[in-house]
Amino acid sequence: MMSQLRTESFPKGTLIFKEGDTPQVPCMYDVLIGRVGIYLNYGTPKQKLLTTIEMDSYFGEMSLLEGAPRSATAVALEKCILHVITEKELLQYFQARPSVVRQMMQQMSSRLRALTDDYMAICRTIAEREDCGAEQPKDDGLNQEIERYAKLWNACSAETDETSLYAQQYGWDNTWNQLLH
Amino acid sequence: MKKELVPAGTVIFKKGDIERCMYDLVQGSVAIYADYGLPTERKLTTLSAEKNRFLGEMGLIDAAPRSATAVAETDCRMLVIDASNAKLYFENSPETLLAVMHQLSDRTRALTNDYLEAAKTIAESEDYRKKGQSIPKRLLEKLHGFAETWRALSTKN
Repeated sequence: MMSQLRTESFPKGTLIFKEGDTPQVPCMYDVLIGRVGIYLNYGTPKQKLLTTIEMDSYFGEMSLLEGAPRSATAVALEKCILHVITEKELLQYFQARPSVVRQMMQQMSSRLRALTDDYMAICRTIAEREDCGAEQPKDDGLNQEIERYAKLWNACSAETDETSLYAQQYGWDNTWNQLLH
Repeated sequence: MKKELVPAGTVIFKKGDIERCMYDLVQGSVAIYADYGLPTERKLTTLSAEKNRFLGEMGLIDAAPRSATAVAETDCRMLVIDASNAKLYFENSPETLLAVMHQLSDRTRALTNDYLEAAKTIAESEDYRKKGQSIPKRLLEKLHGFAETWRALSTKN
């Protein structure tokens, strides 16, 4: 079953895909052997390592699901052998590695829940600010929250081209959390 | 797999219920409520077989409590997918696996945009405040929309 899935090998240092690329056939990768680094602004002074993907984990799933441009650059940190999974192969992959697909769905689901909580929190801050009317809120905590959200937006829009904004959305756990918490 | 017939008006699940399953809405529409059955009841959205298809898919994935109450708005036909038949279901109709993931990623993207929009609205309003200027009506209305979202969803039932 496993052998029917396509594998590709990448020497150390190879770019697996680049931020902003739109793959002709959207795919994700499952790491069989090796380690992959996920970077923003790779090869520029603003380069930032978001995360590393170890064996038995996967990356690039957002592009697979949405056909959207890659939100970050993936680099083989050592010699890697990867499964390449396109939409067509997803079911086969699910049959071969049900736990990985389940884990993928769980990750998406928990990201959505965390995002829902964050969204509720920002709406709450806005509601509390609205209750104060034109006056400056007396609650320092509330003032700090407002300041933090304004800063978050300014930080995001300072880097705006669409791609990096998109990257920040999906680098949620890594990039945004530093600003948020 | 059996298609269940659910008459209009049936409560499919209640807020706070823990049930490890999702529903594939084959026919009909389902309304999602906050405070269902209370004087403060509010309809949050309507899901239809044509547009949304899956209901409660996060329950199948991580078994967290239902975040709202779902009620059949019309007579519905639906498949109930739980841990015992999920594998069979996805194997029988491969496109559903991808469709569930698409639904999750679409919602994540939409919510991310909403979140960014809220942060942007705060930042713009604060700019006006700091300059001692009054906030334009357009921004106040947007802020009010976000505030109302919180007020609608922060209810207890």
